[in-house]
Amino acid sequence: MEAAPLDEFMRHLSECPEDFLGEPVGCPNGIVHTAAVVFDVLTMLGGTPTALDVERFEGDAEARNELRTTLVVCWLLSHPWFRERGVSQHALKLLQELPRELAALVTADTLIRDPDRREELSRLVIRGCDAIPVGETEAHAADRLKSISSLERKRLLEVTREQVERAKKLREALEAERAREAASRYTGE
Amino acid sequence: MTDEIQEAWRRAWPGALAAWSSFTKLSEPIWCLSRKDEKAAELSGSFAMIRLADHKVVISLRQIEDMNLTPFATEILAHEIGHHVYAPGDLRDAGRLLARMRLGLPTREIHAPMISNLYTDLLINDRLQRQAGLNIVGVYEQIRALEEPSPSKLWACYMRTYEILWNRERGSLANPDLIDEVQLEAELGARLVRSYARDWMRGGGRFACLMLRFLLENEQEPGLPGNWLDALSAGAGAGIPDGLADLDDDELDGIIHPAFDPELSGLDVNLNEVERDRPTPGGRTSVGGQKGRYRNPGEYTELLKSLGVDLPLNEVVSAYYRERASRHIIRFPRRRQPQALDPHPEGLDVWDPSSPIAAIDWVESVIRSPLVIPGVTTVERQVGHAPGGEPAFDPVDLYLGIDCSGSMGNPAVMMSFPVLSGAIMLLSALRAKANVMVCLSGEPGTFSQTDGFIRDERKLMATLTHYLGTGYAFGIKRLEDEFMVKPPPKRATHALIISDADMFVMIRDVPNGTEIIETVPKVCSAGATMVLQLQRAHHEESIAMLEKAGWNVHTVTTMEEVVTFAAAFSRKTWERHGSGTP
Repeated sequence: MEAAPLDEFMRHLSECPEDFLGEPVGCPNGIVHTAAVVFDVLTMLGGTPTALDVERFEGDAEARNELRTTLVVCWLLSHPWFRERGVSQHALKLLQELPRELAALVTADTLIRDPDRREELSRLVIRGCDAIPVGETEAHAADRLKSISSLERKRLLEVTREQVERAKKLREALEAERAREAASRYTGE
Repeated sequence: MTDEIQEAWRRAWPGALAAWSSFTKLSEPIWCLSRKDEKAAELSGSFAMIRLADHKVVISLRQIEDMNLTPFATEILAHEIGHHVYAPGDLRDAGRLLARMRLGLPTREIHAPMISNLYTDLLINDRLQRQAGLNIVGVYEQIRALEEPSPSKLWACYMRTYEILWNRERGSLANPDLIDEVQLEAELGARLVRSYARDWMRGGGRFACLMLRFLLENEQEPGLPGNWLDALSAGAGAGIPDGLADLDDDELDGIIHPAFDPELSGLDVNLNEVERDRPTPGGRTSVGGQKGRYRNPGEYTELLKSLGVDLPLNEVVSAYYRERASRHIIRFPRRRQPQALDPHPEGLDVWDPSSPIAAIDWVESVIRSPLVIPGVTTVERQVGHAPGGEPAFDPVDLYLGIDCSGSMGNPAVMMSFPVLSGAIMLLSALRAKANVMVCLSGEPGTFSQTDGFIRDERKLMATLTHYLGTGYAFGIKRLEDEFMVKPPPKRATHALIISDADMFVMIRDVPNGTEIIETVPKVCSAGATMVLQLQRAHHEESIAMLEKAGWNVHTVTTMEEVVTFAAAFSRKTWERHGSGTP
């Protein structure tokens, strides 16, 4: 399996230009044609996309976050490492699946701003291109991705929500008791 | 062998300091080479510890050798330094962090020092590993290689957090059998450490909430491997830090499980909305309006105990009320005397070394002899005093009588506003160089008072914060003892009693009650005041009797109002006699 420079990808993501984060056409004040950007990126990666391939990247305000996430993934795929390897087939599959999954959990802005989310997106794209980060084994890479995965975290949060709620209620009950104790001051006559 | 190790570790000390900053200064650690040394330094339960009281690091080289940790001198020393310069840094911040930990660990407050220690260790280690480039992970790998994996979920979570923070292989530090059970907490813990590294105090409550599950699941001990907790008794031997009676503005807000903190959970809401304001770290804005909130004396006492401050209860309670009173203290009123004295130079005398150097009159000394020989040629100016044109101010002594009957709460357990008010008056009086006598009385029953009018703040506060809980009112026999049996006070004195409506019953019950009440205002030349909690309309007749006898009667409906009274009383009544700034 080929080794991909994870750190470089993360830095590349953090340098995502404002143009890629503009409002997608189809949303109020939209200025960025997502389908056109996808077409260009796939071409840049050595592919020959058709209008049918990119048709799905036209959307409306309901799909705003998904479209913006698509643009962020496009920016990542514009990194020279992907261009040199001509990963257009992998890229098309990633662009069809990944933005939809991620957009249900995090915003496109978070994918740029949050270091963990930058790492998650980079790792997902690396995995989608059948590669692993430099210096890692396949098992290590899989475990790391699981540790920072938004999908996995959502699942775990739902599983543990009940436990957390129970602890929270216990704390609130104790706080209420303390407040009652503090309120029971000397009342005089 | 240990001498060689000591030398190597001593050489590593400057490098460990430099890991934090080239300007970091700290005295060299106390090296313990034997069990005897460890005992002398009070090092137990760990191979290293910090002492915030004297900014010391204590290292057991004996244990370090046993644990094969000798190659990690810089790492271990830099970690200990981190407790002094980063988290918690000083005793006050250690206390503030512990307070948040305690709030986040309901029913498991006893473990707050341990969780606090783990939290600060995470912060320090992550910074040293990633920013200073030290091999902290090597220390844990070394231990992991020597020991069987710990069955503690808390420890597994702690170790898994490091694995995530530093991108280590699954199970390289944590017990692999427990990772799935602690994965969420470890993920959130790693995010918390990164997000709150610069504002670690705010993350403290969140970290405690995160760890609470493991403490609740394990009814007994959390089962951590030994030797790792180096800041459990960081406050041992220290005095009481100021500022712990207050609740921090965001202290209660910060008690939130990271799973409910969108910034830490890493999952966004409102995904399709245009982002306007970036959320603050932690994803929650303060509700505001929480300034001026305090923990109660019981919580304060427990907090200091957790901090390792080992002082008698009465000193801790005194410190609490002193701190609460400090913001209300004003300059105590002083009364004008007919005339003040102006200094008047009256010739020269030989200055000898027992006098202050500042008293030497250098001009006259050099005129007498250009060669200055201390005690021989040196002279000082003698000063006499003549009546001046400006009036002098004389501080008024305070007799503070406080009802400590059964209806008054124990000030060590719950907030006592009479005691706080007393502290305000007492500390104000001492600041103005007045003498104070404190008398707590719950009679019939007992009383506790200082030995006359004194200026020993410690004794006065100790008496004030004492608790009797006997009888039904302040015993006016105490006034008789002080102002009728003894000769009248030579200095101007103000008698101030804080009680309630039961005082009238007391005046009736004591055979010469009326006589006492009538005599005290006459003896106390600076006045007599009675602050009573009652409904004034119900006691008009009795109040009129007191006022006729010369008492200023101030009534309040709740004891909380006495605090305002204590601060305002001096300004409004006593400073007026001074007619100007005293």
